[in-house]
Amino acid sequence: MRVYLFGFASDDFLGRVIVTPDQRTVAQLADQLVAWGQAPERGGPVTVRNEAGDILDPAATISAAGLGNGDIFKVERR
Amino acid sequence: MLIGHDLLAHDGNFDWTHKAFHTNQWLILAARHLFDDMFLAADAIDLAIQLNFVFETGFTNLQFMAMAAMADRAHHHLFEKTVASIQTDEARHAQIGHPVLRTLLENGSRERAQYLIDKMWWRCWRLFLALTGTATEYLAPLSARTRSFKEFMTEWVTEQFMKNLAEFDLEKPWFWDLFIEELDYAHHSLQLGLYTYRTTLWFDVAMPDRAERAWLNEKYPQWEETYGALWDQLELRWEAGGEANTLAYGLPALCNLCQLPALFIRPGRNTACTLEMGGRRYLFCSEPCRWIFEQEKARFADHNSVVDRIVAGEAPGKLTDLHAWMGLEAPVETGKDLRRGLDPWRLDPVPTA
Repeated sequence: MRVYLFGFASDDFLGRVIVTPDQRTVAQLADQLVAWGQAPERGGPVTVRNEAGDILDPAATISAAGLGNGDIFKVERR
Repeated sequence: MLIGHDLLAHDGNFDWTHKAFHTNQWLILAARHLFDDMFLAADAIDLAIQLNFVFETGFTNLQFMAMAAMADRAHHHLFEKTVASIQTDEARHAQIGHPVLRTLLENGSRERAQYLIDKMWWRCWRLFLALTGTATEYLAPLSARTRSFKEFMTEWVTEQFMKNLAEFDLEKPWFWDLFIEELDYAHHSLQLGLYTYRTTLWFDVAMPDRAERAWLNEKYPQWEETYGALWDQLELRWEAGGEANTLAYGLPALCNLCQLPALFIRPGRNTACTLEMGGRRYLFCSEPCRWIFEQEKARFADHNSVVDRIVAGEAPGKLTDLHAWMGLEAPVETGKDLRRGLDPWRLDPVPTA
């Protein structure tokens, strides 16, 4: 099932809408958000959190990580 | 419309001074959402507090007096005289707010009065940072800038409004610390949003040049550190792939209360939050927007943002179709980079009668 989510990358200036199949992984979701952002490319590890601040397993699917329509996720780049 | 009509000979987009408020353009929807709440769909008491006391007494001094001063320095005397003239009218009917507020307080409605003031302060701030904040610091010529938006806000809005609140023994809005923090950042973040989504606007948007960046960093000592790399990246993207490479193509997340992009406050400081209600999850740019929504859920719950409409299939998801849905005739009317698309008229003082 496709879901729409609101992604916020820590070095970007704007929340972005991501529409994606919920069977993709959290890591793929983070990659998509970072690719759409305007911040300079940096590579390196990222941490993905939900609105409550819980760290999400990058290997988990979006669905298994508990993200559904209208949820916020945050990607922290170091 | 007087100002726009005078300038139509130079740029057809000034037609939007008449047309804008009747379109589905996203920034206009945000303004209409605010003004519906403020006075078109408010009772007489709420209107007097929200429009006359907060908006006119609190904010329009900045809009009309400060921008008139800038217009004078930019040699745009038609704009200067027009907005200064409007302010004489504002000053007259702004006085309705004080006696209504006094009557409300004398009749035991202090809590209601405080709520209306808090709510409308936040809502007006959102629209002002989006329009006045970005225009004064990114569109006004450098030579015309006397003070920063933050300095204008501090002197013309904040200090004056504090005196008004003290007169009635009312409290500062509960989100005051957040408002003060946003003064340093929010309109700068929004400028990046306007720039990268400029094809969805009816006006052109500027990328600050080196001299402007130095001025911004002088006024906001954290500006270069916070925003410099992002503007540098946009410059690099232009060089590498042309203008199209500097545009955003994904949808921005829009707040379900103020209808503006959820970009506050700055990179690394995200205040977005959600609310689950009636099987729908709502997104807000900040706690104050969520708080206002929660106070009057029935009033706001059925409104859909532009993004909600796209996701639901009620508005086109394809950008070219979305332009038409918003009333923009592309590419003639859509916003462009101001400097690289500089029309000759922008280099000279605007001719006035």
